[in-house]
Amino acid sequence: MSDELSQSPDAAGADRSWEERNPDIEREITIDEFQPKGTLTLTLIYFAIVVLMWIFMYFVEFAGNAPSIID
Amino acid sequence: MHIHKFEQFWIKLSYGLIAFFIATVIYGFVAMDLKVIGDSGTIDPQNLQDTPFGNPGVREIIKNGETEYEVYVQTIQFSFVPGTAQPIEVPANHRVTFYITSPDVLHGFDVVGTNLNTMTIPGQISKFTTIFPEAREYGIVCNEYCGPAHHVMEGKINVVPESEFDKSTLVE
Ligand SMILES: [Cu+2]
Repeated sequence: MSDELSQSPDAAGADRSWEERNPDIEREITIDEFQPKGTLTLTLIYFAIVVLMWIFMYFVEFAGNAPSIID
Repeated sequence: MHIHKFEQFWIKLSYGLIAFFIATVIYGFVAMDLKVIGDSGTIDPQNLQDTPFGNPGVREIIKNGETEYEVYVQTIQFSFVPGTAQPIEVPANHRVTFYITSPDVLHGFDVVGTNLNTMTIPGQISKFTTIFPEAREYGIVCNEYCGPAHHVMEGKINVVPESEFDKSTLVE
């Protein structure tokens, strides 16, 4: 971590923008060029876990838990 | 407002997830015929003695030419009557209808490890029907806090093979 980033906000640099504090980062991209594929993959994995847990909880633990109420 | 396409994708998946949850619940209650406890009448909790709850226990009835059983249970701080002092005994593979009410406070009637689970409410009759497919013992626990000894409130249902069912334990 650079000195700049490890300083507390009220130390030198608090009045400067993030870009001013990071002059070595030059390339700007548009929002659609930003492609967080790793984040997308993780969220899809979370989604799959939620769906599988729901199927297990509802169809196996709840509906499959005989004897059930039949009337 | 411009929304990033990944975010649009994720928002659509989230709506799809909600639709999927609702669809599975509808499917369960329409196609799989799942049932939950419904409204089954009220009773005066101070005067249970003149009702079948005054003589709680297992009754045999004939319904549509089939032998069925009715079980009347009172939940009282801190026991199931019957259930705690002596187990509720019913035969396997027959329809059993439970009628449960409480003369004192709110209790629960949860047959452990099954979907049989209801609140028992003073002034209300909880009713549900089931068929126990195999002879075995089931535990009952109270799962609504009902007072200082709630945690020890438990009982048993003894499901026996039909040939071993002792009809002398039936109540009139
Ligand atoms: Cu309780």
